[in-house]
Amino acid sequence: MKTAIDLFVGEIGILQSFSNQIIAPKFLELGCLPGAKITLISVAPFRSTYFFKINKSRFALRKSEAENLILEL
Amino acid sequence: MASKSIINVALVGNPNSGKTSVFNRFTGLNHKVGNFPGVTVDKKIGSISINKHLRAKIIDLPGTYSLYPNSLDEKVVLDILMNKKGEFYPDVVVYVADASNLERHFLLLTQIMDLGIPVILAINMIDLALGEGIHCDEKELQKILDIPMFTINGRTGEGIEDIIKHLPNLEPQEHPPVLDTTKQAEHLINELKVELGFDNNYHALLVAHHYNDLSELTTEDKEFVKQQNIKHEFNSIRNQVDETLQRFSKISTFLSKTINIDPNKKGSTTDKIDKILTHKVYGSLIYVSILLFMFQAIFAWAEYPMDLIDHGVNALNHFLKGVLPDHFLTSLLTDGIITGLGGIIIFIPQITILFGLIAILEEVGYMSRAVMLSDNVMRKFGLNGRSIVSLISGVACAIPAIMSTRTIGNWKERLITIFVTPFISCSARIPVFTVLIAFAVPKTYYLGIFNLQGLVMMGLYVLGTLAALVSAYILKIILKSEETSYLMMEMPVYQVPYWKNVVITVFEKVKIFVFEAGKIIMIVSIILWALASYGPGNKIEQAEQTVIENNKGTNITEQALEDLVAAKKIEASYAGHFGKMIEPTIKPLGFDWKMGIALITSFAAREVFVSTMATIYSVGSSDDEKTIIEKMRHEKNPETGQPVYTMAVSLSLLIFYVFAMQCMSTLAVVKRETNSWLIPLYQLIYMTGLAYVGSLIVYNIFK
Repeated sequence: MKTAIDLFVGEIGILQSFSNQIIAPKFLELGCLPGAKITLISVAPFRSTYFFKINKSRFALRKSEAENLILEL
Repeated sequence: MASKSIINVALVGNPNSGKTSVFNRFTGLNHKVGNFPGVTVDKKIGSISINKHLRAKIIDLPGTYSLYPNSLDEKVVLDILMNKKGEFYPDVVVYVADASNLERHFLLLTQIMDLGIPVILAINMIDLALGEGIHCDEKELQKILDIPMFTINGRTGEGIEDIIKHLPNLEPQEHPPVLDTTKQAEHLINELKVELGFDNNYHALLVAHHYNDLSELTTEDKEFVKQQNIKHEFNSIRNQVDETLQRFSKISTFLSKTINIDPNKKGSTTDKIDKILTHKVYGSLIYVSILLFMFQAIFAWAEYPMDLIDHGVNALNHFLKGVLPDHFLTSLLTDGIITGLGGIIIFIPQITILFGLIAILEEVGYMSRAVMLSDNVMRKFGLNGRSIVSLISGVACAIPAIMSTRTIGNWKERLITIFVTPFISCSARIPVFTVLIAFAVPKTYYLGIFNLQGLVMMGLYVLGTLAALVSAYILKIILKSEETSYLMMEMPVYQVPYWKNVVITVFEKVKIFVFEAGKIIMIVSIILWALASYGPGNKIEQAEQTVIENNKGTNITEQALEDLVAAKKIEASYAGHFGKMIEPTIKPLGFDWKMGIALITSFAAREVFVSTMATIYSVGSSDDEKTIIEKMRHEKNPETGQPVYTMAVSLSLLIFYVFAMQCMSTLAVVKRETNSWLIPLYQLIYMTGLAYVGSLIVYNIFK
């Protein structure tokens, strides 16, 4: 299973589903829906915080948050 | 004049929709900042005149992504839009949407439309969208949504007039809901509608979701909804997911007919900048440089205006004492009121510079990146990336800093941030540090550039910051919380700062400082003047007589005699008695009763230490222009004849001021923000206890 934190900087992934049902609505209301194009822009020191472009918006996500984004293979 | 009718116009939109600029365009500086009743959420309201018969109250609601709140701010939005009888219930919502990302911004829009509130859609930043190759067929969009629609530009003010002109012609909007939500929980919705008297399906559904957060419901209503939810096996999260997905599916269907994206436009500037600014090496280096630049700026740039204020206040006092009769009212005006006022305005330059820089970083879009880069370190100490804004603001003043913790959704993280922010050395400590370092530390230079005094000053800031972080870490272990913490933060696009927003933000922050802290500093200044000018019975007069009697026939100069009289007079005053009363407690730290007076008055605000010293040494003295530093340098212990301000005493005082909670205004704000007496009390005991122990250790090492 590939999640958003497995992306390389600059790599693009397509969101398939969420692994945690509690956090799912929070992603959804940000427009982060299954099928969304996720690009990893950068990673903060110690690989703790990830910076993604999701469709047209940009988000900073903690590792624990980004792990919930399951990507299409 | 016949009374005008007033309509409530609420500004609603996602975070980063440019809503603040739009609000500033509507009202300018003509608005009031406060709190929504019962909660510590910023309320900004401006009243504008529409025409002869109509005024509009423009209410800026916090930015939110949906009617499913994650933080206190967002709960307020929900509560206001749900409570038809509420004071702020809008007659119309002006919904601000970012043209480059209509899909996401339309989620909340359709939710508000389905609640049955009339909506005017304001499409913002269309120039940026065009730059990204996004074209929108506005006529088609208006036909589909069937609500009034305007394209606006919050930065230039374009389109705002059109909205204002439209306000008198509001019509009820009666269209079928964008999304028919009844199917999701039909029986539950019907039962709630019948029993609680709602006429709107979506309203009833939201009540089922959020009944605990709604002020329109009584306790019995809440209990009823809770029972109904159980009876109908209502799964809130599942339901929210379904609704959101269905809404987005509707939205993307109609947007596909109206939005045209030019595939040849690629690679936005923001992405290119972010590759450097959020890079784990360069990004961190740039971040640290920006922080250092900010600290440098507060010290270097503020010096000139602060000197000017200082000299101005002294000159004014000198002038007034010269022209006004020698009366207690003159003394109250100069040594009490004007000195107190000077003690407030002297900090305005630093507060303006720091909050100006923060506002610029915010406007540019960098502050969110700073939050992202800090989150990891902050989290190790039980804080949130967002805490960094408060900690940086704390360098100017803890009061606006504590108020800016409102963006932290997690209660435990917010509480810890509030608790430790006063450890960050604020601008009120600088005068105390400056005066004391001048005594304790020689002006030695190392390597030609590092001034030892400067290094000690920096050390004190580091010490305060360490105290904040260590205390946060301890609290992280002590406090238990089940609440999950989130960062999940949207990063805005980089933009050239819009100066009007910067000016308004700084103006608001300075106003908070002047009114929250200023009034307390002022009152204390006057009380202090009174305590230092009067004493029990006629002891002051006696003291004066005794000094004059004792020195009759000696060849003491007039100046020395006057100083002696002044010193004896203050010793005989209420302030002197007070100081002597606490002297036994503070003697182990190396402090005498005069410092005792200053410590007590510092509990009103730290900088009062310096003005207290000024008052103590200037009351009755003929020479007001002597700076406080000079006066303290000449201060001798009456018993030993040695200088009072030794290195050990000065260092001990410094440590005390780094740690101690000595600001009544901060405690008052903490009480309000946490809605608890216990938290400010713990803060007072913990910080001051730490200060006492720290000073005791330092004094005994250097004695």
